Amino acid sequence: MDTSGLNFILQAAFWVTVALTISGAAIAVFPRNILYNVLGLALALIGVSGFYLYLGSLFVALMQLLIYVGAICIAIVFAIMLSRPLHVDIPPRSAGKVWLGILAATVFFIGAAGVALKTNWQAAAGHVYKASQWSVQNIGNALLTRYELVFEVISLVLLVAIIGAVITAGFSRRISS
Amino acid sequence: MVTFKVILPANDYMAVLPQIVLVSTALLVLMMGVFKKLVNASAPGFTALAGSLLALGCVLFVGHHGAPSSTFGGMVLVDGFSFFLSLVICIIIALTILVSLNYGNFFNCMRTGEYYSLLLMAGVGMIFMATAGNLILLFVALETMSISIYALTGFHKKQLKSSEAALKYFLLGAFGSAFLLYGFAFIYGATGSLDIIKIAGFIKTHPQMLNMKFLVAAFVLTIAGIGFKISMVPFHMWTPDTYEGAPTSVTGFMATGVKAAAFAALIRVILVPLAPMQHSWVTIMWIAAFLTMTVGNIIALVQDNIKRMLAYSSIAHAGYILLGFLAGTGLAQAGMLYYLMVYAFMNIGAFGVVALLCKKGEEYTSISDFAGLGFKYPLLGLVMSVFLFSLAGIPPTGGFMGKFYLFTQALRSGYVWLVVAAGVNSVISIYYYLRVVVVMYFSPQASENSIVLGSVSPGIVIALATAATAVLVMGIFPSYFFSLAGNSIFSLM
Repeated sequence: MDTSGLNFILQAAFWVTVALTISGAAIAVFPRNILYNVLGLALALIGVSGFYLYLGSLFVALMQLLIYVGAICIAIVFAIMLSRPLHVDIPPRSAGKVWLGILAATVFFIGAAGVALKTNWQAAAGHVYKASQWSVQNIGNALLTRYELVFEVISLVLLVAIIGAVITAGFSRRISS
Repeated sequence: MVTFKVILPANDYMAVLPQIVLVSTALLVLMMGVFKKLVNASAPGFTALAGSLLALGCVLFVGHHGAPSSTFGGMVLVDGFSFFLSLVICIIIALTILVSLNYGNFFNCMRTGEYYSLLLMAGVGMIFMATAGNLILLFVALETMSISIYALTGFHKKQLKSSEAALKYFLLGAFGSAFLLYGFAFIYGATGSLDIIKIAGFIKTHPQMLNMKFLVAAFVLTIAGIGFKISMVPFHMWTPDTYEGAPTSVTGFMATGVKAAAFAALIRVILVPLAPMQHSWVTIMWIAAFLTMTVGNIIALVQDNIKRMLAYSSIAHAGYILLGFLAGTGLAQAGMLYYLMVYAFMNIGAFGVVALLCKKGEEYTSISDFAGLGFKYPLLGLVMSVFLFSLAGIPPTGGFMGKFYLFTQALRSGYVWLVVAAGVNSVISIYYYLRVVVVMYFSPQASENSIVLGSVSPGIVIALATAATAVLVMGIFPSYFFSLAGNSIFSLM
């Protein structure tokens, strides 16, 4: 069977994901409206989850979508909603901060690129894992067998967090009433 | 295909029986808030007390007979160490609830079911931290404990100081947790396992691992994470503000329970499994222990607020306990356990006395408020003096014996100069502890003091009497407790 067509589509999808991620990152940085920044960030993170999919890890891709896009970006939107109104004039960008930002980004990029180039990406013998080993099904099985106790304690963490949030946010009204 | 085990052996449930009791009580107490009309306002507190005593009974009933074992597939370790720490933590919970029962008479929000259920859940997290045999469970338990305590810290809704304390503790604590998790990731990367026993086994069979920077990074990150919880210098910045702003009953709980659980985690994760890399942490921990003692004691000298003073003193005590960590032998570990037990009694006692000095909606926390208290309320002055003598390490109290064991073990392991520094620090600390005693008994402004004890419930009398008795008994008959601690050390055979 001729798979060159399929390969082409896969390649094209990959580069579309790259473009999405980079343009999302650019939107996250350049516009002066913070709401656009958040939406750009969400776009970039969706692109990153596409990379995980491309690398064959469905679970990590789903988690990336769920946690980063679904929870963190929404939390940021909430934070914007509760803080300074959007229509207030935004002060102009200061040149010093721009240069510092560029410097920080360059240093990080050089570091990451150095690690990527210097690492020998061949898996050591005996350590080759199949993608199916961390399939969603296997992770679910592990969570309810080997890690069942941890699973239960996590539910406790969530309960405690809910009680804590309720108290922190809405307790004072009850006392005064 | 994975086979599911539907029915767990009874041993598994027995190992977590205290936790099950505490969680059930917490849920029951939480539900009481819903049926406000049906239950008495003080019912949640007494139910929580009953639950914590039941859990204490379970710990004693289950005991630790026989060889160390593990349940839930290595998740929970059943050994003397688990028994000892569970015992100490259950005692801490019960004493804290007794103190809170009275404290709730001054502050209405402290009587709610939410308060007691958070307290009990934090206790569950602490016990799981001390008994965990797996790093994931340990981390989740730490989060259970921490999140509960962040919320408890901010319980004084009408005081800005309390909210500030909660926010500071939350932000820095979240950082600490992240460090800890990163450290655990490195440990996993270096050894390929999350089970503490397997990690230790891997390091023993692969000594070449010790030369890799991986484990050093793991150690540094993990110690930073745990250092936040035990308020080790330089991760102590949150301690004074948080201890001052938190409700006093919670401060006592934080100072003892969190510290006991975090030191348990330190012994479980670092001291024993990573013991072969001891030579590489000696310098860094020497400096940390020295700074922790010294910074705590020196800054405590100039505090006028008793809660801040006790906060700095708790930093200093963490430094003393780190001596045992440095010494690293089995006997030193027993000394740490003994000290954690004494520290629980004397510190909850001291904070209990502070929690007693309140009027409706307000606390008296200035040291000058203690003026003449020794004559006005002789028994209260007496128990406070016992706690302060013990904190200062003066015989015949348990605090003296605790320091004696720790310092001796550190000397045996050759840390002469550090023990000298610890001795000097103990002498410095006598000044600020005895200052409170002097103010209570010899203060000239005693006649101007208008403090009247607003509410003394039987609960707090029992708590203070128990704590004071325990401090004295542990000081006069230390060998029983020390041998109990000695039989409870965590070792890998």
